[in-house]
Parts: sequence; structure tokens; C-alpha cells
Amino acid sequence: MTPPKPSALAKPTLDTPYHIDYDWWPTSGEDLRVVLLRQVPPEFHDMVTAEPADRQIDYIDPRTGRISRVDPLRFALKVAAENPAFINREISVIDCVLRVLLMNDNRPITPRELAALTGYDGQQILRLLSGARVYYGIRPFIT
Amino acid sequence: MPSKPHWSTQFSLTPSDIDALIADLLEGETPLPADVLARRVIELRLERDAQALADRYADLLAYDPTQTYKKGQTIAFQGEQLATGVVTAVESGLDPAGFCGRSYGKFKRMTVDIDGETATYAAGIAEGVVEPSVSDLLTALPGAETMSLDDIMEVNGAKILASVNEALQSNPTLVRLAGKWFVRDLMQDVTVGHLNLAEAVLDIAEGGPLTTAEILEQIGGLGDSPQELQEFSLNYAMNEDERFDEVGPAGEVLWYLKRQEPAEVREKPALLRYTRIDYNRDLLTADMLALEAEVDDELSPFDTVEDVDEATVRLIYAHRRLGTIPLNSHTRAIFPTARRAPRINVTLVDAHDGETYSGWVVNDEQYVYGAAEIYRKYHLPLGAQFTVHRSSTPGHIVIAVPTFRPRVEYVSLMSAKDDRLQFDLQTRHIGAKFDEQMILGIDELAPIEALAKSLTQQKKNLSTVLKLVIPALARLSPQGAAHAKTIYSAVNVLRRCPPGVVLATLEANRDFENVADHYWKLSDA
Repeated sequence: MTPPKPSALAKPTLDTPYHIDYDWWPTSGEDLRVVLLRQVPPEFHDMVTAEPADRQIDYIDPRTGRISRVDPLRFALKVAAENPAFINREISVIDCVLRVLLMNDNRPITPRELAALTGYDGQQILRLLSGARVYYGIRPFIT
Repeated sequence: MPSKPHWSTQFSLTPSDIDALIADLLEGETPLPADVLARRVIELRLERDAQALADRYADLLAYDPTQTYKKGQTIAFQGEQLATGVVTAVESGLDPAGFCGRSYGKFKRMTVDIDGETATYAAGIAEGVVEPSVSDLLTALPGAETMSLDDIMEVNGAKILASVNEALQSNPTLVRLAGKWFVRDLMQDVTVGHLNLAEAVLDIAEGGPLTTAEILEQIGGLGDSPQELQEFSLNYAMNEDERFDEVGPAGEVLWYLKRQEPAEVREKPALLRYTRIDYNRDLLTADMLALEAEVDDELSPFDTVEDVDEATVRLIYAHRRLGTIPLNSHTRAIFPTARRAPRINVTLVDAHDGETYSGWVVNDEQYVYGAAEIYRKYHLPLGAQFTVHRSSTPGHIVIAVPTFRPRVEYVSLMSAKDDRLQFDLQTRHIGAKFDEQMILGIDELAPIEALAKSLTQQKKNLSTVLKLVIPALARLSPQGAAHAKTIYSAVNVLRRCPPGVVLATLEANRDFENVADHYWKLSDA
């Protein structure tokens, strides 16, 4: 069953869906490309920076055959995400959350689901995402 | 919305199912049990449904990324759920050409419309780049079977089996014997000569029991047909012949010559016969019902208690005299009573020394014959208790008589003189477990038997018998009363009667007075 739509004023819960709000980035003073590049394995860095940022390549999901036409940085991220260690306890909670959203093409996801995927405590994730500070533009998904 | 029940929950055999089964039996020339036939029908249904599904989706292509597709083709994609889509465009893909170590070579980028949403998939790509499974597409298609043959049999097997048996039963082409079905026309001819030989073979074996294979071997077989078919044919012919009795426990066919069966098996002995007495069961109090259950007489109206490993028997006169074991609500679950055969030959095993005795389960009459030697061996008195349980050997039933070094016990000795009954307390050496309220001794049988016969001939009713028994027993107690179980045990020396009738008669008749608990005496009035 589809969960009820969250209200903008409602207090977020473990079942509130979150996504990366790309509208947040231009106002944040942070550089999205730099943040994303940090999620890419070091061995890909030179390749990504050497490519024109607007080059288009087809990424083929090796499990389904589904194609995503993406830029080199997104391609590198998708290749990195194939590695089961892409999500691990060595990186911060917020980086884990960001990586999960990137892996899933920014499909909205709840703290409860994030907890299951990352191994971090759901309440800890919720506190982080519902605090005064917005990390990486990750905000409640409100339609 | 609740999901539609699986077709196997309302299974019934169609004429084409029966034709297919007959064809199988003809081809195999071997009789088959109903469960094998049931599995075969389900298997055929599954195959037929799978074929229908395959035909229905014949134009559907399973997505294989190494293949190329054309605009307008319908493709099925297997993911968490099956999705089908129509190809709307095919163009060249953009190869990463070694970027991040990826190189796909030349491939096509196929745009597909899946339920109004657009997705793009790789096509014509080298093997190994993508690894989707295309092998079991049919199992994922809408309408595909979700249960395997084993699943269906596990969930609805009993119902299916009953339905198969019922449908085959009404088909005159087929014959069933010992749980197996075969085609009547294919059965081997069994002549009168064969049957006469079988009779002679059993006669030499002192009646039996012999397996069909043993009889076949000794009569020289029925011809060159498969052994199983010969056995089935001979079984069928012997089953139709009054001279033979099929006496095997469940799962085994054993033949016996009817005329050589013990007389007590062929006909219910007079001592066990009960002339039905109508009575009002509403008169029985909770305590009385509990006592009736404890005694567990085979004539009491109790259903078989399933799932028991062991059953206790309290011996009453008729069973002690005849060497029979009652098939009461508990023992029925131990002996092979599920079979419809009227007489089943079993082996009774003495738990103490392992000695075996031939036993006969007489299903319809609710007794097992053949325990006389065991009763004699342990000098069991009336009221003695013992247990029966199954052995790990099929067809063997273990009789466990709890014994100990004989002790001196006071026993009510029953005697009769001039149509009068008398009980005297005397000491006897008893080395077996017994019910204190049911133990009775009889030193001289003849006068007791004469009294019982006289009461029967005079058609004396139960109340009269109770009036004979109760004062004689009451003499032995300071309170001048007798326990209901003792009354039941003593009444059963004179006539066969279940405890419910005895208790209801005591309760209904003002000539009897309940003193306390289960103690009764004749009313003073």
C-alpha cells in the first residue's frame, strides 16, 4: 500500500520518505560535483576529470540490461555502486544515505528502509535528516 | 480482494483424465495405487496448463540482451515482477569505450513502452555483459502455475485421492484391489483349477496366512505376464471366492482359508454378544461418564481416540474366558482397524519374553482373538490391567502385562447355588496389576455358567440381574454397598453389558440407592 503523503509541516518519522532535493544545491554554497566525486573510488578520479562533463555514455545495468544515459561522473558512480562495499560502515552515516539515494536514482526512501540497507540505527538517521541543518540537500519528499 | 482458491481445492476427475489414466495402465501393464494415479493426473493437468500458457504467449519474446529486436515486437522482462513492453525505437548505443574499465562494443539501445512508461534496454550486446535469466519465463507469466506437483499433493492430496478413488470406482473398465487399480480386460484369466490349487496350498499351510506370491509360486504361476499383474489377477479372483479370506494388515495382502480360521473368529462367541438395551444417556452424571470413560468398554459409544501410542485394557469376564482383547476407543487406534477387511491376521507379541501368538482382529465385532495363552501364562484375574502398543514390525502388536512377585490379596470370589449368587472375600496370590474395584475370582465356573444361562433363558432383565448382584456384593462391605465398577464387572459375568446401561439403570430405578460417590445398594423402601 502506498504510504500517505507527508505534509510539509508534519514532524518527520521513521516512515517519512527522503530524497536529494537538487534545487537546494544552488543555494547551499556547496559544489554538487565535488561532493559526488568524493563518492567515486580514487582510481576513477583522473578518468572522470579528464572527460568532458557533458559527454553522454550508456551505462548498462549488468543484472537487468536496463540502460541509463549519463555523464562520466554518474557513470563512474554507477560502476562504483556495483561493488557491495560501496555502502559500508567506514564512511559516515550521511555519506551512506547519499550513496543509497545515488544508487537508486534518487528514489525517495524512509529512515526505516535506510537503516535496513546501511546497518545504521533508524532513529540516528532520522535525527540527522530531520535536524536544523540540511545535508547534501537530503530533505523530506513532498509531492 | 481475497485471492481465488487454487484449482486443486475443487479437484474432480474429467472423462479425459480417466482416459489418460487407463492409457497409462494399459501401457504399463502394472496395477497402480490411487496415489500414483492421482499424481499422474495432476502431472498431466500441469503439463496441459503449461502448454496452454506457452501457446497463449507464443508471440511473446523473453528478453535476451544478446538478441536484437524490431520496433513493434512485444518482449517480457523478468525483474522482481514480470513486465511486458512493446519496442518503440531501436538506435545505436553509446559505448563507454574503456571508461571506468567498461567496454560494451557495438550494441543497440532499445526503447520500450511498458504500461505507458518508457524504459531503455540493451540489445545485441556481447554475451557476459548482462546476466538476466530467460529460462523460466513461463513460470513468471500471468496465469502461470504457482504450485508444484508436490505442493499440490501436500496441500490437497487427501481430497484429490478421495476424488480419484470415487471417479475410478464408478468406471466399469477398472478394478480395484488392495488399494491398486487396473484395467479389467487386461487381467489374467484365473481358472477354477488355479483356485482349487490355491485352496490346496493354503490347506497344506494349515489355513495360512500366505502371500499371493507364495501361492503363485506353489501353483506354478498364471503364465508369462508380469508378476505384479499375476498377483493382482489372483488376488481379484480369490477375493471373489468365498473359500478365501484376505487377512493381511494394512499394506500387505495375506490369504487364509476361511474354513480353517478359528471358530471364534468366523462367528462372534455367545459370551461377547450383547442384546441391546435402550437407555437414556441424559441420566448419566459427569462422574458416571468419567467412570464409563475410565472402564472404556468396547460397547460404549466412544469415537476412536487417535494418536495414542499405548492403550490400557481392563479385563472383564467374557474377554478373559475367550482370550479376546476388546477393541475399545483406545485399542482401536493400536490394532489395524482402519482396513475394511472383516478379519485381519496379526501377531501378538508378549512384551516380557517376546513369544508370539497368532491374533485375529475382528473389526466389525470389536474384538481381537488370540490372547488366551498370554492371559493363562500370567494367571490374569477378572479386572486385570495390561497395555497394548504397536511394534516396529508391521502387523505385530505388543501385549505388556505388568507383573510382579505374587502377593496375597483379598479377592471377591463369585459363586452360585440354586439361582443365588454369593461373594466371599478370600485371599489369593496375584502377580499382575489389577483394578481394585473390578477384580473378581471364580473357582467353579459351571454353577456360574448355569446361573447365567438360566437368567438368559428366563429373559431376566438387567434390573433383575442387578438385584441379584448388588445385595450379594454389599454383604462384603460394612456400609452394605457396592462400587459401580464392581457391579459392572460382576454383571458382565452373567450377561454382556456396557457400563453406561448399568449406570443408567441404577440411576433410573428406585429399587437402587446411591449411597456415596459410586457406591450403590438396594433401596430400603
